[in-house]
Amino acid sequence: MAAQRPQAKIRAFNCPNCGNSVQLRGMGTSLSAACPSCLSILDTSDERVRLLQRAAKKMERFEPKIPLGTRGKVDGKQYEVTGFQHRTIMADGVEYGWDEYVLYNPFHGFRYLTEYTGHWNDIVAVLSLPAPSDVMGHAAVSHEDRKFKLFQTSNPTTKFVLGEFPWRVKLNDTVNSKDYVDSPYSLASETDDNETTWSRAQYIPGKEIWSAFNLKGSPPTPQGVYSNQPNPYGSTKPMWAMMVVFSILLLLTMIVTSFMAAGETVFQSKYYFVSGSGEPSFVTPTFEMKGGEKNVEVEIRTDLQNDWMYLGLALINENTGTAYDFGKEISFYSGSDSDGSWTEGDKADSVSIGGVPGGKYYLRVEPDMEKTLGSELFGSKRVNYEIKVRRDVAVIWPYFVVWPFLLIPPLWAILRRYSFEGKRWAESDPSGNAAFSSGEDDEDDD
Amino acid sequence: MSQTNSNCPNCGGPIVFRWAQSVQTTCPYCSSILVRTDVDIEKVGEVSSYPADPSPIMIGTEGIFENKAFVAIGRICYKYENGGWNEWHIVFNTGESAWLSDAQLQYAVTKVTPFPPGFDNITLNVGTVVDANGVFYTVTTVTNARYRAVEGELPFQFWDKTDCRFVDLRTPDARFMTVDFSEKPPLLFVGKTVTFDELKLKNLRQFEGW
Repeated sequence: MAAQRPQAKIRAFNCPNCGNSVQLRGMGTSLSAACPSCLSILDTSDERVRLLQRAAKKMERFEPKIPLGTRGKVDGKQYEVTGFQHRTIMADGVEYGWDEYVLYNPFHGFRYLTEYTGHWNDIVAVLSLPAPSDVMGHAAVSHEDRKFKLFQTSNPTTKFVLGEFPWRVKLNDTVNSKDYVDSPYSLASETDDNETTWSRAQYIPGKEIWSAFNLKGSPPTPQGVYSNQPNPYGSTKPMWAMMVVFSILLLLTMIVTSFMAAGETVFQSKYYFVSGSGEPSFVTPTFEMKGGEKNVEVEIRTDLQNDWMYLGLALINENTGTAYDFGKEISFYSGSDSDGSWTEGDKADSVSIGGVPGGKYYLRVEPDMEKTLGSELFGSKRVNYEIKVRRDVAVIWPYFVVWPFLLIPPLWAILRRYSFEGKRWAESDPSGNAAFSSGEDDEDDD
Repeated sequence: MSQTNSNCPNCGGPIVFRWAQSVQTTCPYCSSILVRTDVDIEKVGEVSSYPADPSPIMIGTEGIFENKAFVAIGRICYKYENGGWNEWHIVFNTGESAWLSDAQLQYAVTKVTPFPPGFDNITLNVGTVVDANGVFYTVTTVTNARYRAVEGELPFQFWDKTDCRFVDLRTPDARFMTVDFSEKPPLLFVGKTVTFDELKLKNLRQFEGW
């Protein structure tokens, strides 16, 4: 029988440090592994397992939220969690730590999950090479039609490991890392002495991880805003679309109600007034106003010239005696000076009364004018005027008052969106200066 | 595919060449490295052991690349500081041959290609950008590898190598090339990186528990 390529098996051996048993599930991919008993790091790249690094006696332990050996579907493929590490960076004198999980599939290879304060990312290696670029003068890289803005330069250090790794993992090893963001994605480059490797991360809600790996309980609540977290306020376009729709509705309502308004003239009559000529007040004949509660517009036209008059008016219901009292001062002046001719005021004006019930009405009119010395000597002034009463008149000004309020929701949406982006980029440290800052100065240099 | 049959000069086991242009193969029974001469097969060496490598590919694995069906008929195993990888010798149903590399389950398909003009005078270090007929490649890795094992049919004699230097170059659009300095003059392999799904592989190796 010809030699067949043997089935790849889980490899088991005894830890060269503590003698306890170690299992490797990486089917020959694992170059290093941590002994689950003594946490020593072992070189497993060869048949002969060697001790690479003894774990410190007092080492802070980190528990993976997805236990090693758990399988789950990511991107439609089954993966097994085979490795776990906790890494930290320093910024402004404060240590920030996050967890990384190695996911293995014997055919599709590796992918990684990271978690920082409830924010999860799904990470795959990038085999094509991102190209240097810029976004409005800000350092960036472009990759597959996306531009990623430089977010952070840092030096992640491995602080704790469990399981096995397809690279040589070592405690306290540091790499140089640059993170570029185009939410919900980000690109990261990690450079060590030999090479630069690129990976692409996609923000993934914790609850998707919980359901993919069938984990108990619920995922930790995300704290703050993460670098590539999608902006929950999304695009403001729908808001603007809504505003346009409502504006059109408002305009249509205005047009329709204007057309529907009868605008019927129910009374019209011409009068004149001579100041100082006995009792000036009088009542008009009654007129009919049909329908329910509708508005009434009383229009007054005069032939005033360099003078004013005041009309005291009352619209009185003949049957009920209900009176709507109102008044209007009308004045018109004109002349000419060094700047040319001028006018002030208007010869005509109108008064609107809302919600007047139907019925028979009449107007009581009381005109008044200034009695001047001239009128005593040269006879009284005379003014001709006309009163016109219209019922159910189209009113359009409220529409112009309401319209600006439609701008509030989209403007609010823009504000929310940009405030979120502000929080995202407030954490940015493109030059990596914060890593060397003592913490006294917590200003970003962006 | 034309098959030629003979017997292993070491153990007498039947030896099948699945590809007419194969120059070398290994005996599946005794792991002898066999080289085809004009008249006979000659034993030139022996494969001591195969590394516990993680490749899901094996001799006989079939797949599709650029709409052409291929089958893996041989491989070269390399080992370097950060692991090992396999160069699987694949032949297409058109008779052409190419290489499917599997480095820690990251895949690329390349073919031997003549060097573009002006390539030979350039020193290739990480970060060096080269212009290959208008396509700009950047050197991403320089690997000093060791020959580990061979299996199956190869298009050339390959069995007594020790140290092999490789330079990998990439582009933003997933093109990939490797310069193999183990040959004199060096060989250039040009192709692209591919995903496992793209290759539509069949007849794969078994993994315990998967």
